[in-house]
Amino acid sequence: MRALARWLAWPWGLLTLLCLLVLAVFVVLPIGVLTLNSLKGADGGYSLAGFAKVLATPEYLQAIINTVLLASAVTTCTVALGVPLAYVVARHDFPLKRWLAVLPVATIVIPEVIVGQSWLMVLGNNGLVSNFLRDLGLPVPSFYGWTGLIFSMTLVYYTYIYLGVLAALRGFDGQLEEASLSLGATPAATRWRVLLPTLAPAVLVNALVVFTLVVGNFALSSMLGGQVPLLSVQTYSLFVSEVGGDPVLQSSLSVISIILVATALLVQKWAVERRQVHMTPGRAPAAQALRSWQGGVFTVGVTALVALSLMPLVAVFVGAFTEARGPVMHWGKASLRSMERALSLEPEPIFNSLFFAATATVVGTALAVLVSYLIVKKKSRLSPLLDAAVVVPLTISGTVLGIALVQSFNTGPLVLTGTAFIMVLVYVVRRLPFGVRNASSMLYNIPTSIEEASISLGVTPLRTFVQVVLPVMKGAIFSAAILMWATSISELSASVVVYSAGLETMPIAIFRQVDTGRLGLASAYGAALVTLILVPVLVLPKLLRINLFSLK
Amino acid sequence: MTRITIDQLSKRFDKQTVLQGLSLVIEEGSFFTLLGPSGCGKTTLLRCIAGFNVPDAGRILFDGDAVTSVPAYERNIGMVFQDYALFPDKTVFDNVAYGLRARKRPAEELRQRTEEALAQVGLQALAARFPAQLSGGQRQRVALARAMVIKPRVLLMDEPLSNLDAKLRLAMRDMILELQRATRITTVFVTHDQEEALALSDQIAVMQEGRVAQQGTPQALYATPQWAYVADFIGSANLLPVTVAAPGRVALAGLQLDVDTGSLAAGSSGQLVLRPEALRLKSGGAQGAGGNTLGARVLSRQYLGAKTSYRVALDAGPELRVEDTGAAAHAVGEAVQLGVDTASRVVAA
Amino acid sequence: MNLFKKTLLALTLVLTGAAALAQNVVLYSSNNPEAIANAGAALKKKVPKAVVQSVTGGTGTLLKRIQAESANPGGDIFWSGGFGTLSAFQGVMEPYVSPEAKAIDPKFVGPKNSYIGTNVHVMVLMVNERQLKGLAAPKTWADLMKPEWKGKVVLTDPARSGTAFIQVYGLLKQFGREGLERIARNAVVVQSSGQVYKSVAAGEYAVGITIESSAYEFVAGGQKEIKLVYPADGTYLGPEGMFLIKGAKRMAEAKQFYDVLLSKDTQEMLLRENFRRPTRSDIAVSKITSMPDLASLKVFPLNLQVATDEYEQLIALWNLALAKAKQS
Repeated sequence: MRALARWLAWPWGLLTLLCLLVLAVFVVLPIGVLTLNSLKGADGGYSLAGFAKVLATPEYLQAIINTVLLASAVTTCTVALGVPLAYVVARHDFPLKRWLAVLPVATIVIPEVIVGQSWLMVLGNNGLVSNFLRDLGLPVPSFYGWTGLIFSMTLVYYTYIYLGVLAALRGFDGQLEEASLSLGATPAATRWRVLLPTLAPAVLVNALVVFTLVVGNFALSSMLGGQVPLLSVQTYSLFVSEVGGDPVLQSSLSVISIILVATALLVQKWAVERRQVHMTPGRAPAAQALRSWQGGVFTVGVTALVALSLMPLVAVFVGAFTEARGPVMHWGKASLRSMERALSLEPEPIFNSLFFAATATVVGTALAVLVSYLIVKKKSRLSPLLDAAVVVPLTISGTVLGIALVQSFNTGPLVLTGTAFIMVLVYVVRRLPFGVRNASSMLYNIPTSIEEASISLGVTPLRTFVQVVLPVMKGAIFSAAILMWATSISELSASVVVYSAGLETMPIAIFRQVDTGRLGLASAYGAALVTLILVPVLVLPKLLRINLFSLK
Repeated sequence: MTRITIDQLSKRFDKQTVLQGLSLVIEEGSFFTLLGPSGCGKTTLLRCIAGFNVPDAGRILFDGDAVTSVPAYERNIGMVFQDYALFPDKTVFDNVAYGLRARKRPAEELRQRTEEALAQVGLQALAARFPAQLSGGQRQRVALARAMVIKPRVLLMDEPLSNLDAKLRLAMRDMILELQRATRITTVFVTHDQEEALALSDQIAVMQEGRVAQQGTPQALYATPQWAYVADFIGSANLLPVTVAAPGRVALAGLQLDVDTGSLAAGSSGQLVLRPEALRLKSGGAQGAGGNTLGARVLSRQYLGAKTSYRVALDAGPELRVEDTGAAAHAVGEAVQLGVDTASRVVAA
Repeated sequence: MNLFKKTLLALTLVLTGAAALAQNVVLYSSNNPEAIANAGAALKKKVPKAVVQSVTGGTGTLLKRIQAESANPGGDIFWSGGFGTLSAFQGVMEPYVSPEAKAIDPKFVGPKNSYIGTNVHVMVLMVNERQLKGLAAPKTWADLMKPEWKGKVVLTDPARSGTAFIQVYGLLKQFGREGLERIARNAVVVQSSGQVYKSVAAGEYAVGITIESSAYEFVAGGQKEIKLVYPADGTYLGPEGMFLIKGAKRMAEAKQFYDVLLSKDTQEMLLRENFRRPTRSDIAVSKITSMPDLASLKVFPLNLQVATDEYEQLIALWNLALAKAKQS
């Protein structure tokens, strides 16, 4: 008992307990409630009836199968695109190679909901390019369904593979390849037998990440899914239609989604992380310039890729300033009406987004810094629990999190639905694992001795944290904050579930407008959203002299 | 000027006992070194004195006041860490002034004392630099200045010189010695380097597995070690197993030698400590030439400039290392005579 | 820590303060955002401080929500739902006789003034001329039953949409089970009514069975290949209405909104801007838009009260017809 009292009196003990409590109430509890709801029987007891019904309904079963198929397809395509790209970039020099540096920024800056909307504008409904091609007499396949889904998701997610493999290639010990060649293996055989096996873990880890992202994907799935039933969209529809009733089916589907993602993450932990190889860094083979025609091919390819990745940005701004009458876009005619409507007539989503994202950035970054400090520097017996609690949000998709929160906080002792609190909560919970990862990686590099030095000089541990640790972490904190801002303000899948009157954000507004076919207004909100993300992401790192992507 | 008393201190980490009922007295103003190999508990003891480790049993007293439950930031200590632990985002000036700021000293006093401290370590010119721009030796000096400027009751140093190269180490040793003699702050110094310990200390405590094996002045420890462990740790030593024939005399493989048998009784066995530099090397054949000599043959030879190090095999069997500063070189295979000093000590095994 | 705590306190205050705003009316609506925005603007003209906060969703969903919230209503007014659907929810309605109700055609007023019609949907065929590919545009329901339209006609699952229910119910009443089966053979069924007009506009189908106001948006928007066809053998009407939610927290403001939605100015504006056919008898539709007057259309009358009672049967019959179509 005395040990417990002493631990609580230690400021870090108390803080660990508080953080654990916060996470328990807002992360673990909702998932528990969700799981319990999925097991509700008709007469009030527990049963697997919900799951049975789900698996027996062809629509839902098809949705699960489709989701797994889609995730596999997209993963394959992203690997097929990302790995060769990374190889070419790591090993070769060609004109305009530097443009590729813009790709990771593009992935962060352009929200999925805008990617979906942009491709729709170009290749979908009365699409600009579709109409053009149709006028030429060419057959244009419907962009809705598998085509659109695989195409757009590949373009959104391939950066994960690309960046992961690029990092692995840059850390690759070139002397291993030289050793292989000296032993008589051909370059091709060397690539196959020496390079590929060491790259495999990097590819697999990121491929599994892409898999889980596709399973939980909501924006693109619902906008481009067409007639293809998908898990996240079905779960959302169930949630919407089960309002006021028993949330059994939506819970069952949610739990299935969690199982899918958790399985993928477990596979990653066991099968892949064990096989990761450590090599002497700094000995990567230098990039070689390419012969002229090969260099030309790569330059063209790279330009095309960058263009495709940035297309949504361009499309959204063009669409925002194009004349739109109801659901009909009049390409070629400029008009400020959509922008006017978004900015002055119905600016509420913009204000809401700003407010919620700003609050979430402050709260989330502070929480992430505190939690990572507790996990890395102030280990105690509760630390493994804290560590685990932080990882939980990674295993659930936004839709599932939203549903879990609504089920937990709609009634009972703590009612949060209908308040701004739940919107901010959703952002914080979803982005917390990334913030903690960011901050932790920096904290591991800060020696404990500087804290002890400060304490030895007469400063209390709490003040030492503020005066010594935080200033050294400045770069990581800003980086985490900017990333938190960018990802919060573009969040859709969870916020669309928990929002209610007056709490609509920009992504939700875009989603609703696209749903009723109003691409002009959707683009106007989209342009505002992208601007609000671009400015901090491009300007602040230069001002504050930090590197956003070195701390992944 | 604080006197530190360690009373029956014990500390456990998980299942391992690192300090076992350790007691020590560190006199005010002295330079006290904790010497021993890694794992002997010296750093743990230092951190207990600092307040970063909380002992499981025992007390620590500063001038008779128990500080065992006083947190580190209230003990008024100055500490120099092995990696210097400078605050990377603060200038040299701000690093050194940090402790004074924490004590809320008025601005003028703060500036003056900080500048003085920097001058003491010769870094006034670098006051505006950041730690990343300094060399290892310069960082060391900043760490020293930072710890001393607050005029702590106790100065604690955890292997501060081990990351420096040989030449710098010597220079820093001088500076530390000077500063300590000038200020007479009670200093506790941790190191595994016995040469440093001998050079700097007023008192050395040689530690072994959580206990003090022997404590004394450098001279006492060098000349009259009480344990083979201590003898081997301080300076280098050859240890020969011998039997005490009579007070002042030992027997070794049929030979008899006159040495210092200390308090060992006749008939007991012990280890004869023969320092390599205290053995006199002469060419020569078998026994003869009277006195305390052992016959041997040269096995190998390494020329080290100021001296030559020989590996010899005694006729009696064991191998010894001998250091000779003489000009005469002895060839491998040559038969030689080793002259043994009568002051050579026999310690308990 | 001090600064941190202060910021936290400030944030909490702002967040809770933001919840309390000036004169709101909370509207539960299944209408599209533009119509809602226009209605809000109309209200603002009469009551400058008024702010309409809307929660959107499908009619069925919102009605269920209103019922679930009956002890503690979150909304004040509901606009709009099909008469057939509304009749089952009278328990959560607050009856009210608006001064504007005099101008409303009596057949568009709900029982005991619990709800009142704000607009009338007319079922139409939305034709994408580019997708006709040689076929003549259909003029009647009967045309659509011909075999050449197989796979080219899209409509909503009647279980998912109130207006789709009226469409399919009307077909059953007008053409019997056989007519239903013939349509089922040619139809592609989608899950939301939005899908129908979006996919016809996208060129995925040649014909969609939908409501006039949705289809007309594309015509008014300037998409040249979209044409509206009013089935010459008789189309169906689907009046939609609004009601005050019983126990609404802002009843006075809700009544103001109610009156505004029934006023001549607003109904004309909603006709012009959102193509909603008014329920007031004093508005000449064909003069304001290119949509025909109700009087000039052939309407096949339906008793929507009976339709609601026969709901389960209709759905079952329709599903049977679909199953039969799959087999053939």
